[in-house]
Amino acid sequence: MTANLALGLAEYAEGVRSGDVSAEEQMAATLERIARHDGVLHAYVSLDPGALGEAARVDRDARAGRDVGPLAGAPLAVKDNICVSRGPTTCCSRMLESYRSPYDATAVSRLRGAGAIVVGKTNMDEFAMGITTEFSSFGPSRNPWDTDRVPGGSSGGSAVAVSALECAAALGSDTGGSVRNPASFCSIVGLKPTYGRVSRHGLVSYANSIEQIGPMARSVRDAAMMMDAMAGHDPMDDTTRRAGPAGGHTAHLSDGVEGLVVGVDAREVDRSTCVGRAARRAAGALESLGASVVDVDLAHEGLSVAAYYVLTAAEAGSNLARYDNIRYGYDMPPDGYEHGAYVTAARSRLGPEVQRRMILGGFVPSAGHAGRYYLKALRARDVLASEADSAFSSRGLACMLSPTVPVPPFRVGEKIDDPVELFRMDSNTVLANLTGRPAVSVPFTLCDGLPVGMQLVGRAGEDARLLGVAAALEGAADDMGVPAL
Amino acid sequence: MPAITESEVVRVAALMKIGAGDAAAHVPKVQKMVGYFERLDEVGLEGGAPAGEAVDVGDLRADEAEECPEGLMGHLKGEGGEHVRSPGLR
Repeated sequence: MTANLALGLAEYAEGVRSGDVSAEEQMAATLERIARHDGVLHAYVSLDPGALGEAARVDRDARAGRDVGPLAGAPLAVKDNICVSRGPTTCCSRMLESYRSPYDATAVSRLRGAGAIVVGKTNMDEFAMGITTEFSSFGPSRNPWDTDRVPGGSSGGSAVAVSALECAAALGSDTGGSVRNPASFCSIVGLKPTYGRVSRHGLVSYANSIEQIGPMARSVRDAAMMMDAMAGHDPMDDTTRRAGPAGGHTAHLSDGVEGLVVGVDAREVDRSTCVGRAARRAAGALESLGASVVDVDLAHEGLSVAAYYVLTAAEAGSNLARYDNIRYGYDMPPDGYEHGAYVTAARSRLGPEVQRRMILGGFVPSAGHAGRYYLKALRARDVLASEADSAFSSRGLACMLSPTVPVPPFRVGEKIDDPVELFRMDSNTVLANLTGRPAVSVPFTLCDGLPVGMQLVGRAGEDARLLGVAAALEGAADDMGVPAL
Repeated sequence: MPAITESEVVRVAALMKIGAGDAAAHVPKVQKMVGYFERLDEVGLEGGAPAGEAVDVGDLRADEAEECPEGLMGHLKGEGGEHVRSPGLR
């Protein structure tokens, strides 16, 4: 048997069950590819030494006729802010460098239960605060399409691993676009589910009120299969919803878009850039498949990024307060320190972006400033949710289309010193987080050889129908293949 | 006049237990970020408190203590899995 690392999850599992695919050979080939390319790409920050043995066990179980699950033997990469019970969970922070979780996150345990095998943990911006992976304490990941460029973030390592065939699929987390942005930059599919669709139990908290774990995969079908395995109510996360889609997340993949109404933001598709032209072409493709395309303008969308950063800073300021280096952290004996001085000394090892977000998180909700920033951000979130609800109901929208990111992948170091320029990269993605709606990035084309993805934002709770539109768009997209490494 | 002064950055950083030396280095970027947030002035605060989502208490898991997983202490910094050392509080 020759390993085929480009297999989709359904073919993978079917091959393992029938004996046409050896999970052990696939895993060995995956590890070999990681060894060959990850020195440059830096998708992974740790590997699970038990992965190969697990794959051999899956092969034995399949030969014995035992149920090996719908994701049998698939090598799964996991963002390093999602807990696994074997190996480190560092959030790519020096503060958690030696931390080992005692349990698997619910999403991980459910994917393991479906037969997937965790191959390793992937690089990310420290505590998920960034959109390029340049804020990882362990150094940036590189875009496999052009290693001088960023892969996006904060789930950049997961996107690189999927794109470069260093795993079959991956988990990311999305607070303001952290699954979709790197999915677009690396030409893969990334879904931010409806808030409450996937358990956050075991996701290291950054901004609890808006973040979700999401699948990152090489096809819409693979992402839907991962959702079927991991979505659903979890008693360990009371924000999870009980109701799921009838027929599962793959139910609408062949429905097409005939008769559906798709909204587009004219400001995005009218741009005379390669990305703007790609968005016009994507809208035209959906129209040619039978959808109606209408202009949509949310009056206050220009506030979404500011509202997002104020709210996430406030939540991050609270969540990061637990990192005092006492229960976990690096080796720094407390002898001779007063408590506050000890914590301050320990936090000097947090990265610069995390320190900045903590300062913002202390400032925006503070007495004298909360009315100006935090309360107005909450109000802006309400206004945006109301405007989006109104647009969806009055126009009968199935979804809204835009480029996932307004630009193609940029060079490492190009924007790192300009926080507001980095804010603008989130301008199309944060709305879905602020309003709890599902949103998916689908690879669409290349601009000067660099990937460009299209984002579809759907109705809350209708993730499966959104994936149906995504599958139609995927079918109309250019054939980009995989990056040449 | 920036939306946040240098001395305010240093003061808030101290509240968040970030050292003064680190805080000073962040002043220009923090000022730029807070300046960007000024656009939120476009929305007013009239109309009452921002909306939240009500959750039925019956939908929450039972408020019952659970046993810690075996060996939990071993995952924390500590001395032989028995104690965690902390600096003194004054």
